[in-house]
Amino acid sequence: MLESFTSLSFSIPLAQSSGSNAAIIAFMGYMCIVMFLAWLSSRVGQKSTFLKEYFLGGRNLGVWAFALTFAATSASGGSFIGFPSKVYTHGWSLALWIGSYMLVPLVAMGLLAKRLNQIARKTDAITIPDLILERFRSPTLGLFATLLIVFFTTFNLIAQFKGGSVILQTLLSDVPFFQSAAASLGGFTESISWTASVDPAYLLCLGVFAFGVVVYTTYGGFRAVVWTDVLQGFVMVLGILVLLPMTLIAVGGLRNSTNDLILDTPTSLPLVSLSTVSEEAIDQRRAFSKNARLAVLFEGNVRTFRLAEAAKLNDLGKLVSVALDGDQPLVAGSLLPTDLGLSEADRKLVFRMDEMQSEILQPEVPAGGYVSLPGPAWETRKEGESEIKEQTDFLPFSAAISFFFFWCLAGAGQPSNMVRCIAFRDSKTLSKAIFTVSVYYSLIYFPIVIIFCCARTLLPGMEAESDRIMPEMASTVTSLFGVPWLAGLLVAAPFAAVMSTMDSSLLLVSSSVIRDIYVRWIQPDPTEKTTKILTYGTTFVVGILAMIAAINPPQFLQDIIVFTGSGLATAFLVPVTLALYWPRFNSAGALAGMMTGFLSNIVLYGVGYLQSGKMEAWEPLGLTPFLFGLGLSAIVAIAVCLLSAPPSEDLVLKFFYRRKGRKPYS
Amino acid sequence: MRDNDQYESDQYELDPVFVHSRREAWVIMGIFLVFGVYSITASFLLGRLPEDWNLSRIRTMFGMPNWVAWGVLLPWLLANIVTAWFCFGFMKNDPLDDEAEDDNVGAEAELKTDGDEVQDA
Repeated sequence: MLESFTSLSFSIPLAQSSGSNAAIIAFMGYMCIVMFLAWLSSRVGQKSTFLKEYFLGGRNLGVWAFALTFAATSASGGSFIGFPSKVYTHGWSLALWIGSYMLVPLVAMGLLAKRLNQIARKTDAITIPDLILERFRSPTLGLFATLLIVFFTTFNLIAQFKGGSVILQTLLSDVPFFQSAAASLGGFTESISWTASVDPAYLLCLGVFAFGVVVYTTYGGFRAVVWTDVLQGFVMVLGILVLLPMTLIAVGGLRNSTNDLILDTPTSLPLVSLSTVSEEAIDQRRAFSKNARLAVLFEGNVRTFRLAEAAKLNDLGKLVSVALDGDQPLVAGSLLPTDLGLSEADRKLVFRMDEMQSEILQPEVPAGGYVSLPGPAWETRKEGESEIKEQTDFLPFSAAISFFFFWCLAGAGQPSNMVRCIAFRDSKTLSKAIFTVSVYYSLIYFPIVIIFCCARTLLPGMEAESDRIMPEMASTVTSLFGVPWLAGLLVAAPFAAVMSTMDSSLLLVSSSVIRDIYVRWIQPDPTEKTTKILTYGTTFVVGILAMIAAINPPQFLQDIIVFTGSGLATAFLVPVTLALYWPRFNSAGALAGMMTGFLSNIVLYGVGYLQSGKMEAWEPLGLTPFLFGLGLSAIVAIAVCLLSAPPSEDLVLKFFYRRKGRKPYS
Repeated sequence: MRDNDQYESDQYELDPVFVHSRREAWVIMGIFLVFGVYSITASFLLGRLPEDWNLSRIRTMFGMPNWVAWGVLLPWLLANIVTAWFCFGFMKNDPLDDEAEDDNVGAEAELKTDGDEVQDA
């Protein structure tokens, strides 16, 4: 084994630096194109009123614009950073976790879109609170809906800003130009008490990324957001479609990779001491960077490990107390070199394990976990002063049910999606767009599962930094095929995903402030010039405020994104659905349903926080708080509606009836 | 609770866009539940590790674990076909813009109807 390991004549350098160069080029090129589109979009579509144009693109979206803006807004940075990381960490169980995306377009668009669009046209509504107010003729309900949207979306916006900046920082961390720019900024920010404790590299990324998004969103409004979403949508799908075949060829076929995965053993990170087998190599390599790959004799075989932190050889040629990441059997029989990632010097330097200071925990399932259900996961719990890692189930039966409901119904209940449903041109556009998004999601989500299951074979031992798996895969695979420049396109996909979500959230907040608060409650008939100034100003100020808040953001950001998504859906889905389909539904029922959905989410998260000290929801029966919130909201909304007076006849006639004798529909 | 067609008369009928959309919504929920039950059940029936941990009993299909092919990939492909049928064979192409006269339906009715009758209903 050792012989075959050391006799290989070629290796692939660590992809980090080439990937990062590709990342910075991709990012800069991308921002230029996006700014150009924002400028272009502001030159067209001036026929309708400013607010309708700015916040709704003139209610005239065609198939591709509607389909791709819907798809791109739904796909956030999580789809291209967090989701691949999860696939890499938990294996094929992610196929079922994400499985309900097979029906997300049909449910999230088909369930409400046609009626939302029709009622928005009847009432000339531009925002969702606008529509709710008109449907129930209740300013109180409209204001409450506005406040909910502003509250949840602002939180979400801060989290997205932080998320986008972290992604950019991760991708650029090894670029010398970026490092020196961050160091220069650090010299300035450390003198300010507010920013002294913040990583200057993060601040730089936040400033560049957030400012870029705020500027193009402010300048171009909804149309710019939609146009850039279309571009971003194409970039995302193109990136995946290029990466899939290259990955499959690189691992020698999917069957080969899956067979490796069957034998793969889920492990935690052990702390070990190593000493070198080869004496001559000691002087050559004294320091090892984070992520450096090591060849280690383990249970009679040489295996590839990755250093979780930077380490130095001591005078005795030992690495003491280093954390190793990954314990992968070497891959054979594929296009891959078996010592992937090991340089010439690395291959001469083989270590043996002297001491294991923290145990490699024996998992409950020794192998096979990555290809079966419920999939492997690790949970850390405190016992006294020490932390103990235990293996647990990633996707138990109850969680599988929860996620199947969550993706489809939570998607339908997001106001940012609903507002897109009032912007398309006609029914034909809707039906074509649903099918387009359905195919689009099929080309993105299932291939991502395949690609990043194969990544366990191609790039073993990245558990400690699995968030880097997307750019690492992009640069590794393109290097294998001799087209490293293509990595730029692939790493542009996460940028695209984050930007398309950030710009939509930003516009949602500013539209709520201008249309639903200023125009409704302060100045009902502002001049066009005042409206323009206030709209541009509000979008810009909201964006800058969110950016400032993201300098010292709250902890648990991913959890906040889930909390806000779940909160918005539990508050809006039931009241809006009943408002569209039940003529008897009244404002009292809608308000009660909205408040119940909102409060149930808050209470379940509050109890979870008291129990665990983390931002985790309490999940009775293992079901997500979203399902409980939805159920409670429905029960309370219907009960309160039936116990209160029905809506006035004119409202029912306006939204559910038409005069007889009109020409039949074609 | 009154029926949905409570105001149907010589003058008014249920809005076809509402009727079609409601029928489409029920069909969508039916499709969602059928696919959800099948996908989760099939995946868990086929996807659990053999009790004796005999890894040679793990089957693959198209290079992926057997349960993924039957429990996720197959329904995913079928879902695309069903979505195509729904969009191009079932969903009605309803006009979403009202004609001008229809904008006044509610207002006119308000003048003609006794408000108390509505409250008593």
